[in-house]
Amino acid sequence: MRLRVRTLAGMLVTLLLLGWFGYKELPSFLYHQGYYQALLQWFPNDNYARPAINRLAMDIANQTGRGESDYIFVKSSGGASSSGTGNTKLDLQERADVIDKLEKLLAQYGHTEQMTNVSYNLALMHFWMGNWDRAESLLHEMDRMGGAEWISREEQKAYLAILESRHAQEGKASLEGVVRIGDEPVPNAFVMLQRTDDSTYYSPPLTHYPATMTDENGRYRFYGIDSGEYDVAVGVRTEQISGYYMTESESKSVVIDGMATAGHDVLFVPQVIAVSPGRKELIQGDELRLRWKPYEGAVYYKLNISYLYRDRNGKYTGAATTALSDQKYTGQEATFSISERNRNYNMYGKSYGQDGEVTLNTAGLLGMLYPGGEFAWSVDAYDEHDRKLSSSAGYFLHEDAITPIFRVEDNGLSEGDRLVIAARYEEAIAAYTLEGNNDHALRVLARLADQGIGKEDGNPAEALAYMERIQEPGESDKEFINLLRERIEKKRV
Amino acid sequence: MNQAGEDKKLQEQLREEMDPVKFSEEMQADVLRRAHAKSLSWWNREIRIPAPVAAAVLLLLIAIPLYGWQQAHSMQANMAADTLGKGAEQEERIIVSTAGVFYASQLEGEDR
Repeated sequence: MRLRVRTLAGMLVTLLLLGWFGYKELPSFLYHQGYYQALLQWFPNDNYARPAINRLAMDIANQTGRGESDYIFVKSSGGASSSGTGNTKLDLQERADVIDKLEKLLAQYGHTEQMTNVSYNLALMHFWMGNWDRAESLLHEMDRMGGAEWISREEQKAYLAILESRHAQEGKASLEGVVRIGDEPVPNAFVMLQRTDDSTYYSPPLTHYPATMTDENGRYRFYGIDSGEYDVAVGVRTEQISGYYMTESESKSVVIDGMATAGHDVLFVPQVIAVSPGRKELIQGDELRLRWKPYEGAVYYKLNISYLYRDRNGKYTGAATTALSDQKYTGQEATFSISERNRNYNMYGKSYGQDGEVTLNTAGLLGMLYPGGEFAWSVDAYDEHDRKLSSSAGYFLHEDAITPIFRVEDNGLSEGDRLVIAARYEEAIAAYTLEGNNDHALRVLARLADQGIGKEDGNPAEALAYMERIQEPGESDKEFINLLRERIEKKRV
Repeated sequence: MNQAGEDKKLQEQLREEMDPVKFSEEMQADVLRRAHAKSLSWWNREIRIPAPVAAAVLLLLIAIPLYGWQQAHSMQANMAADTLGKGAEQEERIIVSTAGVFYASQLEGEDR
């Protein structure tokens, strides 16, 4: 290749100019393409460095959360919420490393308006780690600087209010109490108040309701709360309550009257240990034997069964729980006949999928412990005053927790039953109808007619017609027939 | 005029006419001077770049930005590992039910 020197020189100058321009524009390019790490490493002093750190902090917070999902909030009236949101799971050390990295960046580049994401996310990470002082000072600093429009002022104020509630307050408390897990008071637990008539739900709920935290003795105090009836919710780390159960207080809610200080202690007690069956054990034959460990102070036990709803992809969508029997058990074992239990159909229910598809509770169609079904069971322990001391339906949040789930062998299922399990109700009706005067088929047909396989309600008259064809009606059949007659009568009126 | 005299006259005439385009001694000297001059000005000088060198330079020009982009990309990809710890394990969904509070895998997995 032959070139004149001046041509070569021209090319070199062009190249240099392009290189210089590229180098000058590279930080902006890297920033806008999201290569924050490279930008910080190659151009630490560029104007884009601070915004890049800000975005980096936001990305980290989006990927790992701020630590709030390590907590579970349990309400005194029952129910709990957690914010496990599919973030990357971090242990405490990894979380501390992230905090350390952000702290170093903040120290290096200073707390400026361009770094609000860093400060805010860092403050919240400190908050959920329990580094209260640092969280409070960062939030105060942000409060002074102002200007960060993307940050919810309400949320910021709520976090600050919780942190400030640690400091001694004057006047008479509206409500106070102690949070204990087992015999140990729980310091640094969050306590929230939600009006009993307030049905709002947030995950995590902490900043949406009046909240405080417990001191080193597990004691909490609320000041200046409006009069009314409240549920008390407690936020603790999930690992703290694994294996425990929130025992019933004298009252599920508290009444604050604005005069005297109300009291409400929250006590988590060891949960009753359900021994077997568990871990999705397959029950073969007709006998279901449930066993549990004795519970201190318990005079009798009661048993519950939960039918687990799943969507058509097998994903868990909910559970319905009912008493397995009304009997009180004084021992640590109970035996049931599965076929006898399957004459109970009271776990009926209808749910609607996102695409409008209707799914009926199979246990409400084929029986409480229908073959091929999957169930969870629980045992509640009661004292001599009929107070529920504890239950096995606590928190199964440790690695080797034995989940009290069992499956019933799918023996003796008819074609119609399989179609019901697959939620193919129209085909199931056709299959059952072909069976003629088969009592089981008639029972299911009656339930399908009564509940309706579409969005609309069912037809009790059609259900009754099926039930009346049953040749050997049992007690539950007679009850259902009476119920249907009552419904038809009501409709007429 | 005889033939010889005529030829001479023509020769004279031709020499006269060709005189301006004659390769004079001065011109000869000039050619020799130029021929012996050391070189042209460097600005106009022609140089030869061997094909492998040209190819290598071109490759380098393409490779540098590509390498930089790849580095930037891997730095970003490694951010998860560097900042978020080694295992990018997903946090588990917690299921709160009347039967207890479980991790989703306990209810949806096969072996729990």
